[in-house]
Amino acid sequence: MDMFNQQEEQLMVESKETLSKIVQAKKMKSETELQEVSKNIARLDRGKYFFEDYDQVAYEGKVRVDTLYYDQLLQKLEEGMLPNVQKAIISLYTTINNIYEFVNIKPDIYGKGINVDILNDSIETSRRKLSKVIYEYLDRNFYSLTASQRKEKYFDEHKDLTKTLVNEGADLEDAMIFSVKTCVMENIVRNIAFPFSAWSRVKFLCEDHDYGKIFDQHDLLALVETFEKKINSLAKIVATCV
Amino acid sequence: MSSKVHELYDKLRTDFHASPNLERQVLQDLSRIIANAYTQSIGSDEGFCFKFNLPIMAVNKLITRLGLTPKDLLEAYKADWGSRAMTNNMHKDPYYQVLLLLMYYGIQERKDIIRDNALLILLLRIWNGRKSKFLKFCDKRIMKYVVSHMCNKRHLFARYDGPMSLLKDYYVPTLMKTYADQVKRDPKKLQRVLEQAWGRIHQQFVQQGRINIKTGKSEAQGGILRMYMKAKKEGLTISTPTISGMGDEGPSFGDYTTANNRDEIINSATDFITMNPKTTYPQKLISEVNRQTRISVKTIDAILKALHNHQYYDVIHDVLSIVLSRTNVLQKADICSPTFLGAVKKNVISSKNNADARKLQKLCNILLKEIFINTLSLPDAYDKFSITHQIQLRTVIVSGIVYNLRKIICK
Repeated sequence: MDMFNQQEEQLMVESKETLSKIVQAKKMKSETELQEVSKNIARLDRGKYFFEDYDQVAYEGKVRVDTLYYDQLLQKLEEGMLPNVQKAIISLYTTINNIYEFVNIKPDIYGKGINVDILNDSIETSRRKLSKVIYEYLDRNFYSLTASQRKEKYFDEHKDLTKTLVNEGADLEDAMIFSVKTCVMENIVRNIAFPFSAWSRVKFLCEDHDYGKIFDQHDLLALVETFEKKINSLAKIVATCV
Repeated sequence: MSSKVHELYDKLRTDFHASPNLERQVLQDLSRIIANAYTQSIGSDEGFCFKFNLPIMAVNKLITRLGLTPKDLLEAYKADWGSRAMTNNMHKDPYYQVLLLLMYYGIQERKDIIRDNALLILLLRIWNGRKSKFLKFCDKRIMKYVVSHMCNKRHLFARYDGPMSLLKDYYVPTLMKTYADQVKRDPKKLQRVLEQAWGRIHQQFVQQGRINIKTGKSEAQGGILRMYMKAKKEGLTISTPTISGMGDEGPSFGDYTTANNRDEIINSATDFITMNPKTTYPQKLISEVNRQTRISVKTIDAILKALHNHQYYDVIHDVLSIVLSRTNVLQKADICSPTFLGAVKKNVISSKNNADARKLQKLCNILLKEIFINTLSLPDAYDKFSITHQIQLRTVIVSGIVYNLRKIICK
C-alpha cells in the first residue's frame, strides 16, 4: 500500500512539474509572439508616406474614368430609369469627393493599369480595358464560385436583403440569387469609388483613436455611412442589369 | 579646487576625446547659430535697434547633444555659485549655463573658436534683453540720428556698425582678455563673466543712474537711452532709403518710406503674437479653418491659442518672414489688400517643392510638435500622423499667424 502511495505521490509530483513546464513553455511562446507583434507594430508607419494629398484635378479625372465604368455596368439599363440613376450617381460622387477631401488623399482610380490616360484611348480600346477589369472582378468573386460557395461567401452581407425580399413575397431561391448579385455589385461599386488602399485608409481613419482626438472623426463616420447607403441603393439597380 | 562645473567639463573632454565627431558637431552647431545671426544682421538696416532671433531651440539641442540635461547644469552651477545666485533668472537659465560651460571648455582646451562663439551667442541674448528693456519700440531713424550726431567718437555705438560687430569685435575680445585667465584658474569666475557681460552691455544703454529729486525716480545721466529719448522728444531723425525703385519711373517717395517695412511688420506681428497669451479667436475664423482642414474646432482653438507663447518667438518670426517673402509684401497696405489671403493660399499653403515651402514645413512642424506635447498632451502623436494630415495641421498654424498679422497691421 505504501509503495502504491509513494508511486502515486511521485506521479503527482511529476505531473505537476510537467504541467508547470507546459504552462511556462506556453507563456514563453506567447511572450515571444507578443514581443514579435509589438516589434512589427513599431515598425509600421501606418501609411504615413503612402498617400498624396487631395487633388481636385485628380478627382475630375477619376470621375471621367468612373463614368466609363458605369457606362459598362449600366449597358442594359432601361432608358426610362436613366435620369434617376444619373441623379443617384451624381449624388454618390458628391459624397465620394467629400470623403476624399475629408481624409485628404488623392482620388484613386480602380483597376490594374487603369489611369486617366485611358481617356486618350479610342472608345473601343477604353471599353475593352474596362470590361476586362469588370469581368476579372466578377469572375474572381462570382462566376468562378459555385452556387453554394457564393451563398456562403456573401451570407453575412445578403441575409438581410434576402429576408426582406422573402417577406415581400419573393421566391426564396430568386431572392438569394438577387441578394448575392447585389452584394457583388455593391463591392464593385465601392471598389470603383475607393480602390483597396483608399478604402482601407478611410476605414482605418474611421477607427483610429489618435485621428479622432484631432480631427472631426464623427463627421467622417457620417459621410461613410451616407456613402454606404448610397452604394447599397445603386448596387440594387446595377444588379438588375447585369 | 572643487568645482561641479569643472566636473562637467571633464565629462565633456572625455566624451569629445572618445568621439571627435561630437566635438565637430558642437562646433558646427555654434558656427551655424553665429552664421544665422550674421545673416539676420546683414539683411537688416535697423542699426542699433536690431534685435536678434534668439536661437533658443538650437541651444537647447546643444544641451541634448552634450548628453546633459538642464537639471545637470542647474545643479552644477548651484553648487559652484551658491543657491542665492540661482534666485536670479539669468543665472539659472540653461541657455547661459551651457554656453558658459562650452566657453570654459574652449578656454581650458585652448579652442578659441568654441570659446568665442559660445560667448558671442550668450551676448546675443543679453543684447536682446537690454535692448527690449530700454528701447522696446526703437525707431531706427531716431537711433541713426543719435549714433551719427549725438554720440562722440569714444562712444562704442559710434565705433561699430551695429550690435553684431559691437558684440563680436569689442565685447568678446575685451571680456576674454580680462577674464579668460581668471576662469582658467577658477571656473567659479564664470559667474563674474556672465555678470560683467550683462553689466557692460547694460552700461551702454544707461549710465550713472541718479534719483531725480523732483520725481523721486532713478534717471540715467548718460547712455544711449538718454540721448535717444532726447532726440525723440525733439523729433530728430534720419531716414535712409534702402529699397530700389520697382517701376520705370524710378523709386518714388512711397518706395523709400516702405523701405525695410517687411522687417518692421514681422517684428511687430511676432511681438503681438508672442506677447498676448490670452488672445481669443473669432468663431468665424475657426469655422473656416475647420471647413478647410476637417480638424475639430476644439483642436483648432487649442492650437491657435498655444501659438501665443514667447517660447515660439524665433519660429513665428521665421514663418512670418517666409509668408511675407512668398506673398511679395512690400508695405502694410499689401497685407490689408483683399487679394492677400488668396496669395497666401496660393503661394504659401498650396506651395510645394521649393526651398521656402520646405523651410516653412519644418518650422510649422517644430511648432506643432511642441504644441502637441505641451498643449494637447499628445507626445509623439504628431509624428504618427500621415504627411497629408500634417499638411492640414500646418494649415492651422499658417492661418492663425496670418490672421494675427492682418489683425495687428490692418487694425
